[in-house]
Amino acid sequence: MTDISTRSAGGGAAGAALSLKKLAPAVFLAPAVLLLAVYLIYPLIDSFRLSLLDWNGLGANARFVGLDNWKKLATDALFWEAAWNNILLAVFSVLIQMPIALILAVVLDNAGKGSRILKILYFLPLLMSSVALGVLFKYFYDVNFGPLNALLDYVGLGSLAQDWLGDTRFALGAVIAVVCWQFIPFYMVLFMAGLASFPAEISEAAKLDGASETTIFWKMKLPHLKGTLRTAIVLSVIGALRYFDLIYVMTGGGPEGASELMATYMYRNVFSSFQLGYGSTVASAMFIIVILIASVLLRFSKRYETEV
Amino acid sequence: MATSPVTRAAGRVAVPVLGLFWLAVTTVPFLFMVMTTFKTQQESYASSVWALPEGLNFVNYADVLSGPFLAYLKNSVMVVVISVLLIVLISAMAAYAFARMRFRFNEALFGLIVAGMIVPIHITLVPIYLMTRDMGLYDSPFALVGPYVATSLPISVFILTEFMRQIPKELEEAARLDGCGPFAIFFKIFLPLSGPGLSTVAIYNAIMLWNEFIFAYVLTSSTSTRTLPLAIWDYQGQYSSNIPAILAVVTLTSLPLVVAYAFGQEKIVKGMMAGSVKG
Amino acid sequence: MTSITLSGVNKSFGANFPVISGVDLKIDDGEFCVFLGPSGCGKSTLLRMVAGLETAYSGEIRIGDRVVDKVEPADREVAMVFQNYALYPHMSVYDNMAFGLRQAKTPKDEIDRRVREAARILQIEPLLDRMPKALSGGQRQRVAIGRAIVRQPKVFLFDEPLSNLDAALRVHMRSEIATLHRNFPAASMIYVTHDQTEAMALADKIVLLHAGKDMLKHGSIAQVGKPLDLYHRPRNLFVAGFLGSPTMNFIEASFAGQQADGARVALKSGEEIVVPVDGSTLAAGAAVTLGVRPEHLAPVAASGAALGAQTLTRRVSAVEHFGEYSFVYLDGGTPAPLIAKVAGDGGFKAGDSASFAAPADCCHLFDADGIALSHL
Repeated sequence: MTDISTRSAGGGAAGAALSLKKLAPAVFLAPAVLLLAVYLIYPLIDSFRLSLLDWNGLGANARFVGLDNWKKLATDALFWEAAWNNILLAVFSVLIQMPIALILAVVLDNAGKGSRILKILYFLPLLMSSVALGVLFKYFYDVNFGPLNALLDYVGLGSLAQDWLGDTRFALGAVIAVVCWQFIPFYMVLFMAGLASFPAEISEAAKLDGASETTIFWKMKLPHLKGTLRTAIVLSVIGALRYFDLIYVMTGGGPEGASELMATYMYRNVFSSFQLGYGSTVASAMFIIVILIASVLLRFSKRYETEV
Repeated sequence: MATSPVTRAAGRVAVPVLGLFWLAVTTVPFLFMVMTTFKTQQESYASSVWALPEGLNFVNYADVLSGPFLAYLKNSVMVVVISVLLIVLISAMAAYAFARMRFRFNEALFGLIVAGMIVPIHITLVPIYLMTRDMGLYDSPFALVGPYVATSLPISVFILTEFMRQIPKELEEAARLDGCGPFAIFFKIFLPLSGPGLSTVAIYNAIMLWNEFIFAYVLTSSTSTRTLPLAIWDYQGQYSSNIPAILAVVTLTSLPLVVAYAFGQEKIVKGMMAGSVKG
Repeated sequence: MTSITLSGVNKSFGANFPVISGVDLKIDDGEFCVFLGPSGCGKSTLLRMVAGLETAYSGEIRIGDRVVDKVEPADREVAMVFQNYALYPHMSVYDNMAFGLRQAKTPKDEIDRRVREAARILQIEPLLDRMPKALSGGQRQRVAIGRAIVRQPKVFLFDEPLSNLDAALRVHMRSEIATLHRNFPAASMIYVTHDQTEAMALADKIVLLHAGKDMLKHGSIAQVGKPLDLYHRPRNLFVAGFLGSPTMNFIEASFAGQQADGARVALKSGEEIVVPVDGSTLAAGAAVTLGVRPEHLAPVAASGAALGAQTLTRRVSAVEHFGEYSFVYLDGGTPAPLIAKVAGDGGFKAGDSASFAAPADCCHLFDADGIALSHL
């Protein structure tokens, strides 16, 4: 019994160990907190500071202009159009993605053996970078060489061929279609997990009570998915409000701002027009809008949850 | 309420039809992309876009690979590997503190970090751009590591904290009786036992960062410092009229993930779905 | 040197939720002490306080001569076996047992010697290379004990170690733990359980704890003593009711006077029973509770006037036969039926009237506060 007793040197060692223990949380958290402070908190604050400047981002010619940028933003039709486009993107993302994802989830849920391979293949678009997809679909939609118009021609619907990305009427819709194409499988897998967690005994009990598969789906499985659906909607809306890459690559926000989003508008102001101050105002406004909508959504979905 | 035979028959038909329809929707763009890469530029103009290539023509791939493509690849691998290692280590440390340590503001700080998940990263773009310039890191692949790690931390900390909360408390207590301090418990017990959680976090972030565009676009500018998503962007400018060559770049860029996917679909799907944690 | 002393120990979770109150306790060198009590009585908490896993309590805990309140768990020279074994899932059996020694920088060959020795004692040598998930419940239990043995602690702590095992294995492992105690006579052991059979079988000393209102009123400890002392001389109604299965029969009665051979009590049903206790503090007619264990109610063949004193006559409401013995349920006089445990089949039928003698020295008497009156 020697080894243990030699280690118990008494108060001194124990005291040191205790103070080390008190410091331990700080040591474990320090790297994360430090990085977040430098690369998230500080930039957030700095963005609001920059929003009060008139500055091209180069040299020391920054000029403090107070709330001028914010006043400009309030009446900047381009910004509000961009924000409106974000909202359209969010609304159509939810309206298109949720039903299709749910249908596909139910299909795969009933597909038996083939469902695994289908799920794996459906998931492929999620592995692609937005840039890759952007370039691919930019070509896909191309007015002269694009396979989409070629296909329309081929089936005799040539009159429907359009300059999909170059026409202000179609640009946003064309991009939304790609967004949905990419993210439907994500929500499908989410719904599949929700369906898989539906207890088999309940559907067996319902069958004994004479319920059909259809009834079980509408009356039992769908209510069971309510929580998952809510999560999906929150994710989809927040994602849409922050969207950037794919649109930037496909249209750059054009034509004539038809597919402009808050993020692309911010980017254009900073890195194309070199209005770093005003760009930061747009970024800060975008932050406020996203946080507001997100907290309303989360609050709403939580309150709903306690009622259930 | 018994199911009528008609409905049941309709169901039997609908399932494979819908399943195959979406399979076509998903795969046709990809098949089209790969097919086109085997055409020469002339061929792509001359023949119909839906026509099969004249043969397996690798000239576009050879063209791309003889350019700076491998430099982009090297940068991507380097940045993603370094970032993911740091993310896993740093978020695991924080998660351990949140899951198992008692200190003031534990819940408040955790809530704050998790709230970071909904912050649009674009607000940080300009300040980080200025900061990177001031630090002299502008146009270096290492400029990406800081923002990559920081923006990945909220979700990673969240996933790993949830994971570590499931590890039985008794294991930690047994380790304390065996003479472990907080660091030994973390490295010898929690880290090895968090394997599945760590791999989820690693996979999710590796894919996200492999595809990351905006920071890389803003913080680097030279061919020798940029990552793969920028390769597509840069080639697009360079080869704007050579569609098969551009699509070859897209194909090559996506190939590593597709290959990885072929080996571990289940793990990758699970890892990607980690993004679905409720905010 | 390995005695354990707890003085004035109190603990609460949060401000208003006391779990341990006023514990003064001494566990002697080499003693096997069982903390027994219902769930929520804080027995595990008390054990974890000795281990150093629970801090923020008031009072003082000594192991040997050393006050350990500020000593890290690893430095207390204690080893603990957890309810769910707490084996490190990513380490082999060998590594599980060696882990603590490695942390203490014990020389390699010494570690190897101790691990193999412990494995030999516990007959788990063939399992040393296995991972915990490849072991059965009983094997895991042995490894957990092995992990404790190799540290050669001065105190072994067991936290409900058998509760995850099935009934047969539990009896077997119980005897192995008793053997372990014999093999390490110098080490003290504290063993937490809610199972009175385990406590009776293993303990040199039982510490029976109570929960809730009783704990607040009287402190955590209900009674400390040798198993048979607690069984035969319970200090209060709680102890009397907790030990023994089926539980002791309690019959409401009133004090009818003190005589030389004990206190005379009158039952509501009219019988009078003499209990050899000192009832001199009681007022005449005071409400008391008479306690008799089922196995002490002896069937009496005679009936009517031929009945002696100390007998109860009741209608049989049901009989349960177990072959070796039977439980006879008796109606009347109490909210719950009285139970008599009789040898063999007993020959009773539901609906019969039956008489049972309650031998004086097997009767217990409790005052209105539930405190046992002391035997003469």
